[in-house]
Amino acid sequence: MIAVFATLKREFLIAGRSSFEALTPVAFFVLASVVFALGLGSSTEVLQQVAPMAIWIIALLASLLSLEGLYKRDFDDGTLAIALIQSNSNPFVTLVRLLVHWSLVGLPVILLTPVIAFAYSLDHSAIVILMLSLLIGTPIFTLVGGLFAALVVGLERGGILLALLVLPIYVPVLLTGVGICQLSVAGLAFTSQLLFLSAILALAVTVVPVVTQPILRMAYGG
Amino acid sequence: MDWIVDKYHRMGSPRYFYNGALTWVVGLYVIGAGMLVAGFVWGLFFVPAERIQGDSFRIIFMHVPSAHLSQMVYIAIAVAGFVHLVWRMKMADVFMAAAAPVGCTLTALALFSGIVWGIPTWGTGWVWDARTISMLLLFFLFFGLIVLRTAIVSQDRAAFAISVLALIGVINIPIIKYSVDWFTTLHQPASIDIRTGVAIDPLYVWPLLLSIFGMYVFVAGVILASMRTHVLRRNVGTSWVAELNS
Repeated sequence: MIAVFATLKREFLIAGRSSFEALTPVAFFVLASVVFALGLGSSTEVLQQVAPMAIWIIALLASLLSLEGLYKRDFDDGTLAIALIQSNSNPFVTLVRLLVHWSLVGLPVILLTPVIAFAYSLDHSAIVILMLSLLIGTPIFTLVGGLFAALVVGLERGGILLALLVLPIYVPVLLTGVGICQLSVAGLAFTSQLLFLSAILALAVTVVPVVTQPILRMAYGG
Repeated sequence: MDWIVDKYHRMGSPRYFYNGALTWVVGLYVIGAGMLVAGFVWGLFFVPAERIQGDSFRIIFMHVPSAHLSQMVYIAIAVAGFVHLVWRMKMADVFMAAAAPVGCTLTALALFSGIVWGIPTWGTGWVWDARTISMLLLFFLFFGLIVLRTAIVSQDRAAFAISVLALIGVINIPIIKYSVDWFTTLHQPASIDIRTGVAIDPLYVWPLLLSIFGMYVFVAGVILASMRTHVLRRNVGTSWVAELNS
């Protein structure tokens, strides 16, 4: 338990000290969605139609952008090696790290969605559904991406490799999330898609923290 | 029983594998190529044209075997990944290294023949439905397996990472398999099903089955041949490899 709180405190402290770095993914999200809206032109209908897909994809890219650094700093300065030598393989420590990552990338993205939705002239109910679907979807991005970040930690060009490996795995989540928004706009029932997405999240929450430790250990040759 | 255990342990020996696999490679190549050629010739020249699709349906004898085998190769890689993670068997990693490019090629072949078949029959080469998306994802997964190996210098770590990736990606296989049953799409449901039997004219079934099984045998031969070269490359510097040259 102490380790969990210590990790929580440490992660937020590091993020606070390097606040510029911590804010980069969120800044990317805002800028990219505004530029996307500008590129689409000023037709309100087109913007409203494209908004859920655009925001989902940009949220995906924002979390992908920041995932490479998830274990990189600890790998470079040796913290990770120490943690593994102490055989501190508490899955909750990993879970806390992922939670912190999500609260610095996923959560701001969700909170900023109403502002961004303004640029796409989305109506009230569409925004609520979009935020709800992102609330379930972005933690999945963080969890699954965290697994792959552990897989490629310490490799040269790990970032582009991470993108190549993780994007195909993200696709079903993206399609389901966008599907929820489209069904809701069309006035159809979307509960089953929402439950499906939640099931993926439940699976990821239970599996990822447990298997991350052996994967990280492999970065040092088993 | 002793014979099987003995064989199993010998298979783990690179030298025994390298020498013993040669006969198998030749045999699989000859039988597989024979079955494939027989299936293709039968399907292309001796079977009547389909009532609605005309001659364009004949690409099925290429499309179905490559699509089926691409999934089977992926499942085999995932099983090998499991074997490697649990028993640390070196040969499992050799298999994964050899099979990934083969599977990637088969998936590309299936996608390409699907596009070629789709243009005259669907009126479009590509639709974004569950089957095409999941096959495209399979292609990316194979690609990831290949890229990951080139990116990781340490062979042990590469083998581990690839095993993990293969096991994660195996979720995609049932999605591909049942995508045409779960979702309504342009792609027709499976024509040959173990539970419900055959949905196409028996006239077409035999050449199709012949080309599918021929593809199984041929692909096994290609993978085994590639495994031999991988074994050779990994054992450069050992005495038995040096003896091969002298």
